[in-house]
Amino acid sequence: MSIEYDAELAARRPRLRRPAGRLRLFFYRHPLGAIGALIMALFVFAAVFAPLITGYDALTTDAAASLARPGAAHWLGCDFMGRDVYSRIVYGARISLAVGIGSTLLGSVLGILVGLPSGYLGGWVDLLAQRLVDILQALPLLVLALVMAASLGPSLENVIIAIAIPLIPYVARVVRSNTLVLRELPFVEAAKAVGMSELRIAIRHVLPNTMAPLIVLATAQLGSAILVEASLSFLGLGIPEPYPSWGRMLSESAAEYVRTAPWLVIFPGIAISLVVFGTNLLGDALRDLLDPRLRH
Amino acid sequence: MTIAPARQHALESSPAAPVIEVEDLKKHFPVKKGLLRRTVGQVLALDGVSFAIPRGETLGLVGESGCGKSTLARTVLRLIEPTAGAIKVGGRDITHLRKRELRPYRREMQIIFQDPFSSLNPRMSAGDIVGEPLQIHGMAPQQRRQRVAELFELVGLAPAQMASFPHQFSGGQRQRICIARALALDPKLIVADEPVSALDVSIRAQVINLMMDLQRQKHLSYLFIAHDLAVVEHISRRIAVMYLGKIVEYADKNTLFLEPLHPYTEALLSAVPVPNPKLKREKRILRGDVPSPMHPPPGCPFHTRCPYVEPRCRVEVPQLREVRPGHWVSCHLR
Repeated sequence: MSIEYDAELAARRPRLRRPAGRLRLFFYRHPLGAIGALIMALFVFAAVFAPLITGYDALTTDAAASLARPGAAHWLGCDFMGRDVYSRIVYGARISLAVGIGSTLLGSVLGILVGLPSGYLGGWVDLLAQRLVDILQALPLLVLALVMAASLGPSLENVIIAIAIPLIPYVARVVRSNTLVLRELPFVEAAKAVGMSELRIAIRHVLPNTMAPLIVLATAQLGSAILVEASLSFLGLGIPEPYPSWGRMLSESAAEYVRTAPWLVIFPGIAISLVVFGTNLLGDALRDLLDPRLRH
Repeated sequence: MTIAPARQHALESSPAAPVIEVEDLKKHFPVKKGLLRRTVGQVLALDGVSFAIPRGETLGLVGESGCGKSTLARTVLRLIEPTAGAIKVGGRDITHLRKRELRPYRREMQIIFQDPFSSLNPRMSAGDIVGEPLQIHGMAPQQRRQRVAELFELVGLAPAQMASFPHQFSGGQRQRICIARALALDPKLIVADEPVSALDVSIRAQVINLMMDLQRQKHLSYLFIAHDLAVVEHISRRIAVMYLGKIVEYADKNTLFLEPLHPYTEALLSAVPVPNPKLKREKRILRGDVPSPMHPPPGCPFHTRCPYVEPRCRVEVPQLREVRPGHWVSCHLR
């Protein structure tokens, strides 16, 4: 038997074959997701090319420009040390995005590594994993961060790890509860009947079907990670001075300057809100895009 | 289509050996309770089931919900480990084979499930689903596409639909995908666990006819499970009636329909609709529910609902006996 399936297939969905066509289709089907993607692209661009798009160094102080109003010289004004707010926000994107994306990815991967075997294998693996999750959930974030900062010193990596750890229990529980349902479904049994290994079944058949709630959880987490970094930095446990992070820019000026120099609060606040908004839009679109039932 | 020489193993060389033979198969599920998960009882889902299916034949298996039909299907394929008994594929005992040793035998027997919606991974394309068994058993991607396209044609789907996802198919089409997946490895036995129960009546006949055509073409054997005798009548050659984890009657299709011996079979038969409203039949409606398989009644498991019950039925367990050549029944009264 010989069948011309390739030609038929190609004729059926020509647009999806080219990446440009795919992208256009994405913008057309998910306009909100496209906005989210644009926002994120903008911030990633700012983070990568920070020196090229800023006129001032983010760390240099200038007594003459202390608390300068937004204007031609300093677009978004200056803080009390005379540092340019626009430059600090652009450079701060590096740290805030690294913290947000890094801790969310790390927490999700670790959560999956705990939750998937816990739900799929059950038995003593499940018992052990769930007690581990209980312990993690019982640890207060600030105490954990305090211990880490005290023993390892405050640094970007330690902040990412400290913020990722509290995410593990949430991801692990979501993955586990979905896995408990999925492992009983006939398509998993069919894979077993074919002689597929348990690991392969877990990765190919179970994990992809737990992705939808996970993406929602992760995108919500990304924004709050940036805010958690702010409180850690405020306590001196986060990114060490004088490096700019949006969270700290917001928290250190909120109390003192909100009346006299509101630009110190408003602009970092807008940056954080935009990133949170962007990731949520992108996350929603991504969830739909990964689900074949919603794709067509 | 060609079959690799390596595939032609023991089964072909001894045509007399049944494709599958099951001897005194038992599956007991422990019932656990409390903090310490103490075992407080056993559910006797399978309580000594034996049968054999020769090449190219269909054994129909009927019984009420909860009688152990699905457990039997899964235990025969070793998706569930049996508590006792033996499963022989082509004469070879596979009951205690390890996973790796079992793999070549997985090619010989496949399964089709009742619910065509949950038996396909919603995130994989139909072509990937049907091709997966081939991938697991090491077929190269190019050959695989060709083979999947052939399988699609074989079950009456267009190869152009390979890129579509399960939600884009109707129930009947999904069941065809399941059949194509089951056929991918060229098995000799297909266990069909109520394959048409979830389908519209208008689609059922199509799927059953497809299965019968495939049986003729490929000389397949089926273990065809249903809770409805009318469906089983059409496709089976022999029929086994199950009640509470036991086979209570086992005979040729015609014999069973014309001269049922077990009172339970009689009751099931009187529930089969007859396409003539004027025909008055004696209805035997069973009272009560199936007793809990955790606490099966002493003596004959059917005595709590049997219209002809006698004192000894309550005490003595009847054995499955061959009362006429090829007609087995487990009842004290026959």
